[in-house]
Amino acid sequence: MSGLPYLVAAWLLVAGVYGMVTSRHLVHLIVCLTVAQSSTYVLLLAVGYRAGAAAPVFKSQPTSTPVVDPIVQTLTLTDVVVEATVAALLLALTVQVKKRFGTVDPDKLAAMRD
Amino acid sequence: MSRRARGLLFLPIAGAALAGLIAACTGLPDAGSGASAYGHFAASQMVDKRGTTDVVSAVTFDLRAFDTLGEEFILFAAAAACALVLRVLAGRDVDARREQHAPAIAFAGMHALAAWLVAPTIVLAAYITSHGHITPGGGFQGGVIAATASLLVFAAGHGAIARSVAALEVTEALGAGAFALLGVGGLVFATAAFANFLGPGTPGDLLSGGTIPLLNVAVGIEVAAAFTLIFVELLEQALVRDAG
Repeated sequence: MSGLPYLVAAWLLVAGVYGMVTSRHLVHLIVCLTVAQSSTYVLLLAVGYRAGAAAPVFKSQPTSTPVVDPIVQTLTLTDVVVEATVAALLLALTVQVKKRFGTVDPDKLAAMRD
Repeated sequence: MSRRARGLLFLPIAGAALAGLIAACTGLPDAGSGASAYGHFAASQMVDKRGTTDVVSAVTFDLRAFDTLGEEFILFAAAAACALVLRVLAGRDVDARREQHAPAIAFAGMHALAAWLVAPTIVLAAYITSHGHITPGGGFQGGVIAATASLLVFAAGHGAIARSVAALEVTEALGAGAFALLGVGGLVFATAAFANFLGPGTPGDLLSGGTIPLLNVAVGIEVAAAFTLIFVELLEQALVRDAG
């Protein structure tokens, strides 16, 4: 258990980058980017996780209860919002690429530029 | 560069990166032992000092409120950029088609089901947003739920929502502006920008947490409008294509 979440985060990052490098479709590439980004959620939450601790919400538990680190959860929230906006903007750009060049294969796009 | 050459180049680099990441992980504290001094302070003090029982919200909208302002503006800029990138030469003749537009994939009862779900979705969004300082949730989560209501309206066969793009932009700006104004309020009524200038109230009450629920509502409005705008702009592309 001790280091497994970190390894999952590292694996997600490398797997996402692999998908981006070998991608044949821009939408696929954007999904791979979100996979790579999701490694940061795993890493952040793993850093703040405390075995056996409760969620940092004190509506129905005394304030002395041990809880997991709320700071990294806040950072994860920021991360999710930024990822969503980045994905939306990239998808919008993909629509325009398809309109202008008639293809969404990154290799063919590179060939057209030459 | 050919695909093959790129793959061959990628493999050693990815292997080295993975090895480096794994080596770095061994230097981290054991997962399961977490909790920083900052996190411990927030968890132990925010309930009494700010009257919020959800510490994540308290950190997002109080301790890190200034960072959240930046996050707000990232969302604002991205939604505006989406609109700018997608706003095509399609012309306004799309207007007429939008209203009759129904999604291409439809099954029996889909329109009725989607229409029926709109009101419960909006109520859920309002609940999640307004109780963000008490239980998990808040403006970001509630705003996204509210934005899905617009997708349901669209699935119910009413494309007319796409006509209100200007109103969406204004609403988005109002939400972002309200957030910034609440920050200035801290400067006017208290000591610093984004200082919580209202009393904490009783932890667990709907009206507690000072400015935190107000900031949640401002964010909720902004996020709902921003995501609705993004959805509408992307859906409009499908309409333009159909109109071909």
